[in-house]
Amino acid sequence: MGRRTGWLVTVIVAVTSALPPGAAAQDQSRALTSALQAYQNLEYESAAALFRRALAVEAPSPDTLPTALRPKALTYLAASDFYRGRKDSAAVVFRRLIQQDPRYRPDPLIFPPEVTQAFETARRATKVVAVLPPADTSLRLGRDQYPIRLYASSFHEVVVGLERPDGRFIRGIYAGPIGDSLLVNWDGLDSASVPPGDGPLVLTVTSRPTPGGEVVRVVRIMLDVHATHADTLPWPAVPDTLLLPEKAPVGPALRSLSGGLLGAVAVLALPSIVASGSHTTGARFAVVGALSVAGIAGFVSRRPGIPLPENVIKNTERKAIFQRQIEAAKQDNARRRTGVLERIRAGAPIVISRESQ
Amino acid sequence: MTGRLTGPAVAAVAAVLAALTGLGALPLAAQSASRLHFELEAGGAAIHSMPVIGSVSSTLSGTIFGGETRVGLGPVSLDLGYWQGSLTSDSGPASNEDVVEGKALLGVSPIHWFTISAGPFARAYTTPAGTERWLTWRIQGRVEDELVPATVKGYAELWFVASSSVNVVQPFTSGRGGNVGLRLAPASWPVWLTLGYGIEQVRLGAGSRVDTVDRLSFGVGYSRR
Repeated sequence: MGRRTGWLVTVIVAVTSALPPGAAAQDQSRALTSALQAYQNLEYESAAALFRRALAVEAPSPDTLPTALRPKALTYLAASDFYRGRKDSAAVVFRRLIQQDPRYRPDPLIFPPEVTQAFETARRATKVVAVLPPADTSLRLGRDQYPIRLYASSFHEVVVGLERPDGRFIRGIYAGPIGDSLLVNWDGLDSASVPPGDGPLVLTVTSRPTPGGEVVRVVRIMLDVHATHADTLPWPAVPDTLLLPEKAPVGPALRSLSGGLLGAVAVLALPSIVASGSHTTGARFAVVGALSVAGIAGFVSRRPGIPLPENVIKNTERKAIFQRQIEAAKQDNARRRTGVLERIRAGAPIVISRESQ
Repeated sequence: MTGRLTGPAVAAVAAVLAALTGLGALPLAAQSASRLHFELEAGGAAIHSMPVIGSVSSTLSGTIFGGETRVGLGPVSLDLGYWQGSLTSDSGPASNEDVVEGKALLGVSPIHWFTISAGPFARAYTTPAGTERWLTWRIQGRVEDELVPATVKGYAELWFVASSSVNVVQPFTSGRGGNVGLRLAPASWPVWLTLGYGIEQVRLGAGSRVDTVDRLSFGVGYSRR
């Protein structure tokens, strides 16, 4: 007896293992096919029941309807409810469909105008947005942009922003209307134009029917940011020590005056120094006078406080050179900042809506 | 007549000349480009000569004319000059005489405002009684600075005689002199003007003969760099 039971278990296990992995999905497809058959036969009551049964199983059960088939099943369910006279129920199903995929539209070749019209009515009343950031990307700060694509179910107002997980504000990205779709970009910086640093950030997209209206839906996506920084260079020092005086100082004027007067004194003293006791002529007084006048003229021409145009010109040139150095340093630092690479990985969206609460 | 050029003095002048050449080499190497400059000056001097021999003094005066040129390469320069003229006796037993002077000084400027130079300075006095020939070796320092920007420069020179060869009775004892003046050279002028005063004194025979000459020099020059 025990041996026979063992053989039976072995056979069951072997048969189960030999079944293709899509057997459960095939069952679901069969359920969907049955529901579609009932819909085609105008048996809307049974069709609605079959569609609901197919859609009822949530992931991660193997009986879950494949994601690609769910919009189709929901559309048929709504149409079944519509033709059963349950128009409110049909509207609820359409809203559920729109919330799952705001870009979805029923095929007008399959569904009659009254069904597509009911869908349009539900779509216009539903204010949801699908947020599609890059799943995993890198951007160079100051050069690249982080693109965030938004797809709206209908015209409404959205506010896109970034915040810390604890709610601290980082950066507002966009606030305004959205029609069908919208592309907004984040430059990778916070509101102070500096990199927010490593760590998680939360991308939030808030939907309102009208500007300042009641919040109907918030989509939150966790962004994991990892930045690689490059140090910037200090600016060149101000060349105060390199600037020439633009007004004459006292020194050169006194030097001219003292040079002339010393020369005059030297002429007067030269006979005593070189040839003491000799009788010299008075001709040297002409040179004494000339040197004295030259010294005084030099003092006047270099008198303290007069502008020195040549120094002004040189200082202007040096300041221009310094300014060019500043600009070069700015550009270099800008290049270094753009050299910062931020890797951003986006998580799954978390939806907080008034209807789900 | 006595001519004397002592051995130590010759060695001193030779050492100075060698040092000048060596000093010139350093700044030459340090300068990014050696610049050739050239100056030419024509001028004259009103001379007042006062020879005293023993207790007898005389005075002579006159004017000499000539020219001077300076050729420089970087900090090294060579000065060549020649003047001649006549002196008239004003007092004393000295007779009228013709004067001829010449010089050749090799100089170096370790800094722009200072030049040290050395070389021979020759002078000949021609009188009816004969010709006195003086050959002295000078070592000279010169400072130059701007008094009025780009217009007037002042200069002062002092020298001493390191050795001498003279064909007079008394042997050479010592000699020194100086020259102070200015150069008017506005930037817009093609030439410059000079005015200076100089005096020198040479002692011979331990002071038994003292020759003092002072002069008011003037000139017009041209320079090119």
